[in-house]
Amino acid sequence: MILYTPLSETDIYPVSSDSYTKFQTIEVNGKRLTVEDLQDGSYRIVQLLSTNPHDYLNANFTPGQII
Amino acid sequence: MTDKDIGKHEGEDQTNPPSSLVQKIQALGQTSVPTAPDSNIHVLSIIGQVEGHVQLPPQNKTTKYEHLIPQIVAIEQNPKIEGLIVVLNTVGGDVEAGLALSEMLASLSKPTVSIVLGGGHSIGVPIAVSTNYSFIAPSATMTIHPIRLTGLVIGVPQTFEYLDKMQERVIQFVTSHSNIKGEKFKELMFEKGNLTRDIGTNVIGTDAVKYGLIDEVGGIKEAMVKLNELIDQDKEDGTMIQ
Repeated sequence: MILYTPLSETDIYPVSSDSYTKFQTIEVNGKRLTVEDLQDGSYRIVQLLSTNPHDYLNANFTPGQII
Repeated sequence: MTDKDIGKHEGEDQTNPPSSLVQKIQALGQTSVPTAPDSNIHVLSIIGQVEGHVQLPPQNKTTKYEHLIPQIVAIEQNPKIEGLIVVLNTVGGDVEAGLALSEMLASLSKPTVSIVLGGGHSIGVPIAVSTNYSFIAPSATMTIHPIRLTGLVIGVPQTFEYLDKMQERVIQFVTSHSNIKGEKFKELMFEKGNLTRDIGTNVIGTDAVKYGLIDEVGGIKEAMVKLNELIDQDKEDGTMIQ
């Protein structure tokens, strides 16, 4: 399918509110993390929000980790 | 390895998943990863869209200003942190959020250095110039173009005036925090024929330095050297007052 329109994709196909609520910002051991709810009680780390470069070397906060 | 051995091995894995300790030994050959001492330099990365008053759909990569502002305050307050490096690879975003971040960075008492990697477009320009010293990678670009409105736009002259004032705020900030002249910045902003679908200019690394927008072309090494130099200078000034 090819669309020929000046509208943006999101105007034509609105994103479901579910995809907004799936991502949350939480705090674990004093570090803020953006996590994705996996719907089974666990969360997958999407992003670490820290300015300390050493936090990024901590294996527990690597994106993709399940917590 | 025989079939029996493989079967046995798989069985073990299913019943007993390797503990984190075993995983660490497997991956790194040791039980504990050495932890480095606290860093005196912190990093603020501004990636993707600068997200302000409106939450963007989740497929966008965004930097939320409500996340960054408390971090900047924490950096200002923590005496162990001596310097800040701002890494930019942004496509722009919310004008007010971007200006808020720029003002926060500009008013930080600690030495700051910014480095533009890849792109520092639109509102990335004021953020890049807000630090004490700025660097740009030779391949990085910065798009300078007029600001625009999304959403409901009322077709009255006041709308244009509002937009013009908003633009003036950006120009004002950039010219007062960098060596570029207002005239030149406006000229780049309203240039025709450079961008495919817009008015403006795409300024590449060396050109950004030539126009006085950015201080120097360089990478992470140059940025770290400069930041350490600024930290030392800051310390010297501090002891002189005492």
